[in-house]
Amino acid sequence: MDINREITLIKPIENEKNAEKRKANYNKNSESDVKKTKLQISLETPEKLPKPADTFTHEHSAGTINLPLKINCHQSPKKRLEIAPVIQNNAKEQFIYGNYNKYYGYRNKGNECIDKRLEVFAKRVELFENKQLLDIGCNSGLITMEVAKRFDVKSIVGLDIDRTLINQANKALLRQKKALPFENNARCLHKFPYNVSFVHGNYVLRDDVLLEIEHAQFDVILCLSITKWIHLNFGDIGLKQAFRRMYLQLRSGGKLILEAQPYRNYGRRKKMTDTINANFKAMLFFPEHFNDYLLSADVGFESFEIMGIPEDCAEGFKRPIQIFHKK
Amino acid sequence: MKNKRLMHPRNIFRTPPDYTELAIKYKEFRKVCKLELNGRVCIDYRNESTLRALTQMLLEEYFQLRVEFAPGSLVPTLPLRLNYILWLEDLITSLKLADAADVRGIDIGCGSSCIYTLLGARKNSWRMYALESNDVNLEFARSNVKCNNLEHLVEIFKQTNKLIIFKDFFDSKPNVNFHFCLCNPPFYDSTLPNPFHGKTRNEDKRTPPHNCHTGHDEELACEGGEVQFVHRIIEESELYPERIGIYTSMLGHKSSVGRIIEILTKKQITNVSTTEFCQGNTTRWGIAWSFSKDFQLDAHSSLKV
Repeated sequence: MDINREITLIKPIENEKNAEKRKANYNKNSESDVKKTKLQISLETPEKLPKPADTFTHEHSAGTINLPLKINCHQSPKKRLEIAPVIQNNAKEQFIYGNYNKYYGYRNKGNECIDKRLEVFAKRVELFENKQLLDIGCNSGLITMEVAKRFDVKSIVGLDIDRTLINQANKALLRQKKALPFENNARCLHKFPYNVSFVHGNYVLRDDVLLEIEHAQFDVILCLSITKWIHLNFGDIGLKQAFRRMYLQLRSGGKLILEAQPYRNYGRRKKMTDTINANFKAMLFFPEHFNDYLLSADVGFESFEIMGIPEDCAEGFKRPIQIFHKK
Repeated sequence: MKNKRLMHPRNIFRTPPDYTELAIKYKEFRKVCKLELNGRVCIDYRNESTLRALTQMLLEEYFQLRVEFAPGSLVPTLPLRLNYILWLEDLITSLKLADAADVRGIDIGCGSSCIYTLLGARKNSWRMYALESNDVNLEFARSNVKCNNLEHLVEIFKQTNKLIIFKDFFDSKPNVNFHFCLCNPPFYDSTLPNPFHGKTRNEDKRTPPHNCHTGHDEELACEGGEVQFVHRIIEESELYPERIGIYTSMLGHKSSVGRIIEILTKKQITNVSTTEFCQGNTTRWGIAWSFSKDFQLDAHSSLKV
């Protein structure tokens, strides 16, 4: 039998078998492959197999096969077509800090500029105008810059633990600055984009005692979708310290805008690193306790309110955004 | 630090310490640090109380020395003081002046911190004799020596006559000779109209200093400045050529080095050596001279910069 006919015959059986195999693989490997798990909360149909014909051509033309199909010439026809497992991105980073590098495209369904949270913010413009802000875990700085642009802030600093992302953010900022008309007062007036800056670092301090020398310097702190990552990487102690640091960094009358992931989102990431796994297992402080902790004497916020819930976005991202008030 | 690479090879501050870790460890030091957004601490060197807390912390951390400074008095900077001590160590070992256990040195004008004395005693177990004329400084110096349990190695001597350095002291110790003396003189000339101003041509263009000014006027300036002061040491040394093996002093200004060498040459003192102390943003100079026939100071090129 010539190979072409072999493949055509075997193809339907393989498809079914592998659909099952892939589904099994899918649930196991989802951690490592964020890019493929778009809108992942609902189960999706697995991706299509690459057509055998493509592979075959490749084999003929070049010497190398670089599609996930390898042909074993020595075994029985059924075994000859072996589907290689889904290529895992474990060579690449695992984004253990949630420091995804195409985050905003993924979150906003490919529409990077229209983050639905900005609509929630837009209803309370007075919180931002002419204020000094801190954005913890700013990733590539998209929200940081949008907030600065739309709400006319006095200054906003974006902090992130990943230097590459901060570099990207700074590059984007530079592009904005170069795009301005030649003669403009933005710099002197400290208007966008001159009211934005980025810092690379870990918000969680090496030791709690350093909180003693922390001082008030911001009117508003944005803590958006970052609590899960602090919690998993630095444990209960790390997150509690971060909450205390946020309070200390706020001025009197300051606000903490908090968007915390619920606990059900934690499980998927629990195996990323040994530290994360250990922290997950040892967790005694859960998202349902956050409000009480923030309002307690350990931190000291006076009250909180619900700012809003973003609409028109993926179910997984419809998290309530809260505002905590400091007296 | 700009001059990090030129710091003495054994100077522990060649690699800057991790101030964040030290801030976590020492409460008093923490109070004078600023916490940055990225979790590191930074130090404001232009603040006097910061400098004081910094030096106290470094002395405690690296030398287990607990030192109190008289209020308003000169706050010593540790890398420079260490560079001087290390230079003396080199002179002593390479010229084989004495066994390590036996070294005797004099600190002219030890100040309230008594820092050179304490470092020499703690680090090398040298027997140190500290001379000081100011009563307040003497009180602090004695207390510092006592707190650090160095009374068996250190003797503090009150200078009653400010104009004569060695006579009373040598008379009190008739049969003892010393291997070296060290001095950190007042750098500035009090007779000048503007003693603390540098000789820059354009004041506006020169960046302001990176640290701040500490010390009583008496510690910083004297009549004729450091050149005059060291001149006096030289003249007295001629009277006691055999009592001190190596006479040394620090100089604050590059121009002074040439002038002192000129003075030494005129007096036909040829056994002379100089060195540079480089640390942070400052450079100072050291000068040494001797009347001994047993060794040549500048024969050892490692000592000369």
